[in-house]
Amino acid sequence: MRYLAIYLSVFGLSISTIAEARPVSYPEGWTLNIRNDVNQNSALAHYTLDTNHALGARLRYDREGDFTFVGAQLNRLVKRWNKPDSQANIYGRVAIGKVVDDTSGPLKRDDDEAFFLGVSADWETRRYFISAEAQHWENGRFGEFSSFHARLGIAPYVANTGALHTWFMIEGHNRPESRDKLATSAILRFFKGPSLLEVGVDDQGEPLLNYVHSF
Amino acid sequence: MKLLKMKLVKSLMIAVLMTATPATVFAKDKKMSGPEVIEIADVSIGLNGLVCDFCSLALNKTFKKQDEVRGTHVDLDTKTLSVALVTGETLANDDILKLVKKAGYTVTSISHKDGTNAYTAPNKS
Repeated sequence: MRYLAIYLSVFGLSISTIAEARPVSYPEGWTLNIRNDVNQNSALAHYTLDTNHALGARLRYDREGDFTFVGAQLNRLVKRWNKPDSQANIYGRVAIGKVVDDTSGPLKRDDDEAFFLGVSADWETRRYFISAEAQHWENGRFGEFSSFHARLGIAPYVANTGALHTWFMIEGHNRPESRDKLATSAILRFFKGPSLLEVGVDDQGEPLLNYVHSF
Repeated sequence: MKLLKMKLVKSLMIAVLMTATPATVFAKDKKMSGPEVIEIADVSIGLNGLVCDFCSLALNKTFKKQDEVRGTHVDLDTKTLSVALVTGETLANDDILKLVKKAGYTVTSISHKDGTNAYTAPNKS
């Protein structure tokens, strides 16, 4: 399972026709969201059911725990504020599925049920970006953990439709149950049309590679 | 062995779902796009909440699903959605308001090329 998660995460970067900056897209739209960082290799493909809900399949390999989550995820746009020069959102997420051990040998653990809850908020203009997110995972016999993320971004220039949008971002993470509880990442975001690519590195030198494609 | 086969089948199903589906299901958009739509637009719609290309995509896709629509273009600088219609077709303000709301945005104004039915959103302040 671990290899499938890594395969999908890497493979998604190599083909532009496949594709979570936007947990809910437009009705009937598909989105592929791939995230690779110090904690995970994760792929989420979701279909937006209506203006406020998206349903998808989630595959997430936990690098520290060496297990993989496979399940279904529902994202909900709780509230959006559209202003002349800005937009703000609150999103909720829930996923249910099972976790599979990626270790081998006599200590290999049986599969177990798992669920995930998340809430996030963001505010952005064409120049500035602020977001915060809290997540909680219940992974049965594989344990539970929470994580918290906050991100600040600034665009060095303001680009119009279809042009390359570039962002400098800083993200702080806190995962209380982790070996490295606190980390900070420097991220470059490139955004053009339906594709968004993020490359970064955290203060431990671990790379970050995220990709989102909206269809 | 049976367990291994089940895992293999499951993994393949997920791989197919997450890779092949988008490539085979989504046909390329054949309607007009780009700044040239502004020149021939029948309707210009002022919008709130336009901050990125994902906003543009949502509005373009939502409007292009309408049979009356020949092409669309979103200009982030002017915060305007330009809509070109099929000859002889019209798009009522109520329908425009519903489509913009469906895409997740709000309308500030609507102007039609023929000068009729101009709309300005009520000031909430």
